[in-house]
Amino acid sequence: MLGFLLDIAGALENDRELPLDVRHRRDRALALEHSWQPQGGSSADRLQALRGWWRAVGAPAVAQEGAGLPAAPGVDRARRLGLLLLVVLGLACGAAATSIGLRYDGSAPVNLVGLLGVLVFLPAVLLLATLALLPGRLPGLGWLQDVFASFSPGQWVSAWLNRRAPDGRFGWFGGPGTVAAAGLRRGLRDIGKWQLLLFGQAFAVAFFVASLVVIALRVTFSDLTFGWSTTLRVAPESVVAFVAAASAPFQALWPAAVPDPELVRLSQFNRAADLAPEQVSRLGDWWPFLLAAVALYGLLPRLLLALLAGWRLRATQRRVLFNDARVQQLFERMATAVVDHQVDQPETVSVAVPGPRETPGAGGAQRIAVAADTTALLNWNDAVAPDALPAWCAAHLGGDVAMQLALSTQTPLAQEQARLEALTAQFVVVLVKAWEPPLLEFVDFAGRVQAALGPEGRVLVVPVGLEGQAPAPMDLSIWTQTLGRGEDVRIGVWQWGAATTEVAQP
Amino acid sequence: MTEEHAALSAAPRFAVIGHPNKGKSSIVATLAEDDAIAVSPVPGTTRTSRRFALQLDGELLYELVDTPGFQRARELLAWLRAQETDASERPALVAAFVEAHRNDARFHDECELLRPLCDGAGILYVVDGAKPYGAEYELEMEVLRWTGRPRMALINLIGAGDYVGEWRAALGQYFSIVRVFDAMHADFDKRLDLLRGFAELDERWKPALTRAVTALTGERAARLRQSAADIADLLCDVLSFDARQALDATAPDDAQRQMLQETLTDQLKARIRRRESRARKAVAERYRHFQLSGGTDTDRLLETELFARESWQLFGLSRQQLLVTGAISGAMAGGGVDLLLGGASLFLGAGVGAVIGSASAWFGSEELAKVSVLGQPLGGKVLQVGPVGDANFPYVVLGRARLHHQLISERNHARREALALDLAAAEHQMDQLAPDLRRRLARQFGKLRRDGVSDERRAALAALVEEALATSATAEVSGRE
Repeated sequence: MLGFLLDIAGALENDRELPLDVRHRRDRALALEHSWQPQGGSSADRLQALRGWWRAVGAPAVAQEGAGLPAAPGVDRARRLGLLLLVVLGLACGAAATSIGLRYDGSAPVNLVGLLGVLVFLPAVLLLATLALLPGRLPGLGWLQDVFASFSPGQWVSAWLNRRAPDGRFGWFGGPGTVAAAGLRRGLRDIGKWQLLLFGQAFAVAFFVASLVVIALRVTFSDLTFGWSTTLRVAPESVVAFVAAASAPFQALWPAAVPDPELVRLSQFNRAADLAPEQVSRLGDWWPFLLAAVALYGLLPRLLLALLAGWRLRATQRRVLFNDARVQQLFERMATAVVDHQVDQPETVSVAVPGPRETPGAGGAQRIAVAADTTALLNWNDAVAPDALPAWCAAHLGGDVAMQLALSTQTPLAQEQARLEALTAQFVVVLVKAWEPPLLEFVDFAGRVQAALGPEGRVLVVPVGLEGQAPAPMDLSIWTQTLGRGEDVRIGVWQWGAATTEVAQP
Repeated sequence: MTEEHAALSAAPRFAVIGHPNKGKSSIVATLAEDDAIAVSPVPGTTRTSRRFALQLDGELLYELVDTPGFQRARELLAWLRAQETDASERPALVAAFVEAHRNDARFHDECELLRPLCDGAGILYVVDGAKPYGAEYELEMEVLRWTGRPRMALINLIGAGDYVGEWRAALGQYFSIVRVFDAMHADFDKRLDLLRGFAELDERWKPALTRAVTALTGERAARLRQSAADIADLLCDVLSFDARQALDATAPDDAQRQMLQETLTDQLKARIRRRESRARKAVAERYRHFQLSGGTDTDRLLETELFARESWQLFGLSRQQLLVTGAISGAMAGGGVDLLLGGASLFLGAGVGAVIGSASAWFGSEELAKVSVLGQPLGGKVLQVGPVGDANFPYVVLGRARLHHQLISERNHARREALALDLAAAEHQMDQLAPDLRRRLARQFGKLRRDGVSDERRAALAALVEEALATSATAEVSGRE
């Protein structure tokens, strides 16, 4: 799971390079296709969605990009290796410690005080130290926790694993962290705590299993005698009471493992004194108690702690995995319907926006220099309101011209043609609404006007702004550019302020 | 069920039709949230019909068709009138025109715009209400009447003029529904209103359009939420960034150390700037803005150096606000002690907390990032600059992100100019937040700095940022240059 967590975080981090809408469409389609329930479903549902996403998107992308991923095989292998090492180490230490504790040369019985001290009391102290480390750093006691931690075999193996992976992908202790682990440091620390605990308990469980096996073997294949001896003045009654209390939990389950008071009394010895025959015949009876005590006070707590660590490790891994911002965003993409505007084809036009020109008429004459007797004025689509036309002509043409025509798109084509044929002028000024774009039907019309004038005639298109004013520079530019595309150089656009001979031509 | 009925009751389709250069593509860009559509003052920019389908998980809800403008409506209508027998034949005659002229380059644009109507699309006829009405438009409207399709007129506003009244009077004679819709500046609600209005054209289109409105509303809420998460991520990251470099075995002298410190500070700033830029890109993508360009005052404002004094004045808390926020946060922390003591402390805790909080805000705001020399577990030392410790820093980052989100979320996809806004409204972003929200932000920033980033804190911050973003609509944003 840890390797998967690192992989998915790394893959999602790399995936951010893709545009969001692309990721949303892809992830939503996957979720719908496989009926994943990343939100509102159980933890197993979410994990299924994540694993599915990894197979469909993450793994192929990672395989393509490399960058040290996937981490899962390496991390999982390292964890297994770490566990194996600790189990082997625990077995070896357990077997060695128990063998030493059970060493019996016939001169004196095995002293239960020392044996239980090594196999039960010391591990109990270490267990308490482990529990003291669990809540995290305690104010003022950090140094003590560091001392305890330095005794943990789990720490040793983790440090070794960290050294083996210099990129810090196992960075339990907030190491530098890989790209994949970016943003996960805190989560990794939480995971690391339980992983360490699990490592430590693997060692301890192996230790006690080996210990129990060694005891059972030694009991079976050799003759052991047990006794208790201490320099301290301890009354046998106290030992009887202690043994009774210690064996109470397994009294019902295994009555033979509860030493009777007589056995306790007989078992007290002193290395300086020889054992009495009645003592020797009973001293072997301690082995059931020894086995039960090591199993109950040594193995069982460690086993329970290992189960707790394993459970918390899995839960923490899932929590870190599911709470990761990138994973949550993935779930949201999977769960949120894609509202999408699809276009059926790419745009094919290339847009050339005409550059702004100088303000029309600025600095130049506002009057069009024309010969009134050979000029006709054509007011297209009432570009200048009919009642304002005389004033406009006076201002811009110097008075009336020979002929004035009002034509529009609503004029029937036949009627328009008749009027054009009746034109006697050589020069036609066509007023158009500058704010309206030049349509192709106007280009057609200008061509017809030109044709009616004959080869010597000329057409001057005058884009007029609102209320007969100069047009906006952009409008004038558009008219100039559009009519400039035509092939007839005799059709020009007045540039407002220019002399008629300076009209824009293609 | 007739073929026509089937077409209507399925996903509705709307052809956006009109004179060239009246904002048809702008309306499509706005409704389709597509900032790649060519929008230009040059007539004839759109030469072929393009369909923009709104889909919900791949299911078609409605379609918009962007069409070229009429170029030869006069000749088109003349052709139709020449063929006319009676009114019942008119739609068929329009289809016949398209069929007869499909390879005629002269009527390419007319065929392109009429074809969707022959296929059952409704009509959205677009005019520019900022320019005077002209009788030449009647030819187009008459052609559209001949199609017999359900039709709505949209008065777009390109520019400052107001001729809406005369347009309404004219359009009302040809269209059953006439609405004003400013494609460049319509906000989200107006877009939804327009979509609802489409349903008025035909009752059978209502279910699909209602679903579209619901989907878009949900998506809008999701965008706000996701943007808040993006900005919360940004804040978490920039509050935890630092820059480090191992020190040589020989202790550097003061000058060397000063130089190294400056280098690391520059590295830290560059990293923060890159992160901010990434967050902006993410937010813009959430709102489907892919073509943003820079160059105006707003861009320059947003591009203001993050660590420049001007930026801090515009986006961060004022010294006084810092003081008050620090004092309140400190008082609340101290109040916890008073509470534990059952008031026996005579509220001394709150008082002391307020003094400490305000003092740290006042004096702490002079220092940008902490510089420290750290010992390494395996020996050696590391010079570390950061994380940024200045009390105002997260507010500056949030203020900038909030302004950027505001501009992006309210920006219309038809607009091609760079972001623009009322500069006065952009000032003192934090003034626009309620004091209570500022206080809760201060507490969250404090936790992040003190205890580091966790998923829970990130989520809590995202909720606060969402609240801050949701109140950002108060600042007026203008799209006009």
